[in-house]
This record gives sequence, structure tokens and C-alpha cells, in this order.
Amino acid sequence: MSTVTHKTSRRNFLATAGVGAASLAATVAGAPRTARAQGKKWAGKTLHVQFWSGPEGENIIKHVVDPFKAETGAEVIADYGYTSGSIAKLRAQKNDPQIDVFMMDDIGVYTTAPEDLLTKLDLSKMPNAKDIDPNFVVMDGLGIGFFTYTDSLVYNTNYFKTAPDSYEMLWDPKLKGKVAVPTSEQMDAMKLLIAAAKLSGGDQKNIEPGFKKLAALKPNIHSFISDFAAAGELMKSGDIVLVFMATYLWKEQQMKGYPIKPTFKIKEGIYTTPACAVIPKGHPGPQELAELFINRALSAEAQVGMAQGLWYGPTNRKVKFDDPGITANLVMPDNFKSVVPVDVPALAKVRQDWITRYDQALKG
Amino acid sequence: MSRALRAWRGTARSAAPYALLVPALAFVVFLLMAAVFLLRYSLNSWSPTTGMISAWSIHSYVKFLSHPYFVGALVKSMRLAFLVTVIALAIGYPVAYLMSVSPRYRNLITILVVAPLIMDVVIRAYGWIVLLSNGGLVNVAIRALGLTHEPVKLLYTQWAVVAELLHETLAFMVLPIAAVLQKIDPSLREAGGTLGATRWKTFWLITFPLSLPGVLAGTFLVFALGMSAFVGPLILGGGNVTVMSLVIRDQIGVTLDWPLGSAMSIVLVTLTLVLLFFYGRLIQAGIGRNAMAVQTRR
Repeated sequence: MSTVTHKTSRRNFLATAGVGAASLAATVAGAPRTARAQGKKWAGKTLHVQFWSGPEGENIIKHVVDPFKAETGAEVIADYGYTSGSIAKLRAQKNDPQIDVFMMDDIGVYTTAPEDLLTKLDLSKMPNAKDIDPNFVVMDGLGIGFFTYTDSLVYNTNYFKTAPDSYEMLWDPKLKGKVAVPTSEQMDAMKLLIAAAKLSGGDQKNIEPGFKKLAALKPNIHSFISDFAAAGELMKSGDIVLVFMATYLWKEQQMKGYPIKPTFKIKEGIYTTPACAVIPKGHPGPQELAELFINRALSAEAQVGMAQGLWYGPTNRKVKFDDPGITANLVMPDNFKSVVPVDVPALAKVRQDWITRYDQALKG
Repeated sequence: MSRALRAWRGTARSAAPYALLVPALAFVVFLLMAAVFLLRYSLNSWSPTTGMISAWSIHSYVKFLSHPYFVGALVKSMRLAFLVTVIALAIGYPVAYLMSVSPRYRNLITILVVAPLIMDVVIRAYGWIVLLSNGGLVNVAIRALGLTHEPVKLLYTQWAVVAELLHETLAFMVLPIAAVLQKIDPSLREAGGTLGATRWKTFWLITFPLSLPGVLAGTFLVFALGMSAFVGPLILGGGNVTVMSLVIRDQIGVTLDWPLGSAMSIVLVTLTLVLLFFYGRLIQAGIGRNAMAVQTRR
């Protein structure tokens, strides 16, 4: 079995980031015509996909959409939306689906699968699926993970000379007004709540201690992060020194030399979320083309690119890195033993209540 | 020209003003349709596993109005809108007065007041982040003046949101008041002076009462904009300022509980309209009393 190994340099990263925006335009414009001219099998066919906007979307366009178009000659029309928007769209288009492939957090799969909105993926039609860690074949193949992101502690390296190793550090009285946490609508907030419950002897099934623990965090809260550019500046200035958040979101600031670093060596474990691809029932495009698209997202090549582009953790076991600049910033399948399991279907049922109570505990 | 053609032209001429109303009517129709949809959605039920379910239920209203956190957000929205309105009036009235008594500077002041509206609200909010952060201009000035040695937390507080909202809404306060003040006959003020009233007394007994329609319009607009503010609280509140617009966004866009989000929207709009209605009645009564007083004095 061959191994795809890559090294990342700063130049690679800048090139990756720089062409992202340009590739967005290229996606919709010229490539299909070129392919048609070259007589590719899927030339003239169109695939409608939906995934995240912003840097996440640009990363996917560069490493999944563009190569897929070049390989197949098909045109790809991208819609953008977060997981909640994708769930809403799947429901709204139940009788007349307009999207062939949705890419969303695993909670989207757990939420929409029971509503019979998804097609079971035929993994035999996706050769790269055999290389995917079995942990990421979600709900018996209704969705499949093509990257992961991790919630953990992100810290200011000027303040912490050694990396914090416990979520309990968030409650350190010395950090009064210097801690930032996710806004309640982000899934990261739910992970923080579960972590807080575990610190107080509870867990996801016994969440009450978590709300009490969160209420005790209030004096340390500087702000709730929804704007990463502004949060990066606050981390740089030292107004914020410790954050519980998805770690890949800080890459841009880290590359600029800001004193920001994530750590995955936490006593209580880390929280890793797979981003999944799904095919809605009754989708308009060719099934084979949708499967080819997902197959591209599962490939080692695409996942190496996405890891270099935005430190997305791979789900493909063939992907290996020997550059500590990458391995220090993402979670590889080998590290999944330190991942705290989250019962996502159960979480989907109580999320609304928890969102409100999270706000109540921290802001009330 | 035939009689029929003349008649047709006459009809067309008289119908033309009504035809000009078509875009406005279309806008109102779509707005009302959206409101009707919201009202209908608010009566549906919801399940976290299946989303919105068609029903006729007031469950979402009960859920909203019985939850301390949601009611707290409503109260915070009202308090924020009230604060912004009062401060905008306190700042805006003198500016409007200056516009009315200084025709020379009227255009310049108008440009200065309207200029913030040319800028996108997001860019404006980021500008305030630069100003209010710990290393920002305001904190630098405070420290340079020796008022404090440590930076004062201004960003991500209610006052940061108030500052941005004032920036956004001041024009809506100044322009209606200035328009009314400019129409006040200067001879009324001169008559007051001739009869021995001081400038202050002339202002309180003549100018201010006559400007109340402008104050009413300005405060209406600013309060309504304050109640529905979204970007300011989102960016400058840093999660510390929970207002209804953000809570509604969470219900509609995150938990996908559209019935609850719709019920919240309906309550917010209704409450705003009711508050403005009674406030309008109060001000109108004040205007009426002033008119009576003027007639009595005559």
C-alpha cells in the first residue's frame, strides 16, 4: 500500500490560500468548456453541491472541486451554507431536491437520516472509501467523513510558557476576563458544555453539573467568539490568552506569526468532529457523478491538500505527514484514542435547550 | 383630436399618480405576505428530529414568554433601543437646531450627519473595534489624559453597541427634527423676545413644543432601528449583549425552530408597534396641549 506523504512550507500555504478565491470563479466559469473540448466522459453534465463558505469552502474548491472538474469534465455549481442551513435545505427540498451532494458536520447526517432524506452510499463505487478509517462511515454508510476538525485549547504563547494540559485551566482565577469561548450556536459550545460536565463529575447524559460549572466560568469570560479575525487580534494583544475552540480556525493568524498555538495534549481528551459527504434521496444529477465527487473528497491527495490548506485532519489512513508544522496542528487517525466520544444523535435532540441554557449560564 | 382620444388622455393623466404607487404597493404586499407567513409559522409546532410540523398551536408563544432567558433578551432589546433613542435625541437635537439657525453650515452638517450611512454597517462596526479595543484610540486617549493606567474594557460591552447604533441612527434623529425646526416661523421666536422672554424661555415655550412632530418622527425611527439592531450587537457585543435579533437568528438559523423564531419576531414587531403607538399618542397629546396653550395665551 503506497503512502502519500507531503511536507508543507509557508510558501505552499500562501499559494494554497491565495488561489482559493480565484478558483471559486474558475469553478463556475471556464473549466467545463475546456473539458468538453477535450471530450471527457462527463463533459456537459452538472453536479450541484453544497458546503461551507469562506476559507473552508475555498479549501474544498481547490482540493476537491477543481481536480474533480479536471478529471471528469463535469461542471460543478456550488451553493454555500453551514450545517444548519444544509439541514434546513434538505428538509425544504424534500419533495424536489436540487442538490446532489451535501457536505456538512456529522450532526447533519444524524439529524436528517431519521427523516429518510439521505441515500445510502454505495461504497463499492468509491474506490477511496476502503482507505477511510471505519470510524468515519456514519450511520451505516448514509454519510462518510472526508476531514475532521478538533475542538481543544488554543493559547497565547506569550502568556503560557508551557501548553495548558487541562480544560480546568479555563477556570483559573488568574485568567479573570482573559478567556474566550464559542458562541452558543456553534457546535464547539456543546463540546465545551460536555467538557465542563465531565470536569464536575457529570457527562453528556448527566449534563446538569456542566451548566453549574459553566456559570462559574463567567468571571473569566472576555467574549464569545464568532469573529475569528477580531479574536486573533485580541489573542495577539494578550486581551485573550486562552480559548476553547476549533483549532484550525487560527491557522491564518499563526502563519502571520501571532503568539497563538493549539494543544491536543489535554488530560480530559479532545473533541473531534468529522465533516461528512451525503447524497440526498431523489437528487437531480447522475448518481455515478455524485459518487465520483465524494470519491475525490475521500482521496489521499485531496485530504493532503485540505490538511495543508487549513489543517483539516484526514480520515484517509493512507495520509501521513512528517512535517511537525502540520502534525502539531491537526489530529491524525492514530490519535483518535484521545478523542472524547460524543453521542451526536442524542445531542441533536437536546441541542436547542442546551443552546439556551449555555447562554443563560454564561450570560444570565 | 377626437373626443375619445382626449378622454383617454384625461383618464391616463389622472391615473398616472396612482400608477406611481405600484412599486410601493408591491413592496407593501410582499412585506405583508412575509408577515403573514411568519404569523402562520409561529402557530406550527416543532420537533428537534423532524423540524417544523404543520399545526395550530400557541406553544411557541408560551415557550418564548415563559422562558426567563428569552424574556430577558426582550427586555435588553428594549433597554438598548431606549438608551440609544435618548442619547440620539440628546446629541441630535442640538445638531438639528444648529442646522436650522445656521443656513451657512447646513449643507456641511447634513453631509457629516449622513456620511456614516454611506458606509456599510459591517465596515462601520469594524471601525469601532479599532477605536474601542484595549490598544485603540479611545483607550490611548484615556491613558494619555492620566484617567487610568490600565486599559478600560470598552469593546464587547453594551456601550460599544450603543456607540455603533448612535453612529448608525443619528441621521434618522437629526434630519426630521431639523426639517421641522427649519419650518418654524422666526417671527414667533422674535415675538417671544419682544415680549421679554429670555432665549432659554423662548426655546422651551416656543421652539421645542413646535419641534415635537420632528422629535416624534426621529425617536420613532431610532427606537425601531434600535429594537431590530443585529450587526452592531453581533460584532461589537462579542456575545455579551444578548438582544432579540440574535436570539431569533439562533432559532431560525441554528436550531431551525422556525415556529419559535417566528413567534419571537411577531412579538418583537407587535411590541415595538404598540410602544410606538402609545408613545405617539403621548407626544400628540403634548402637541395638542401646546397648541391650546398658545391659543389661550393669544
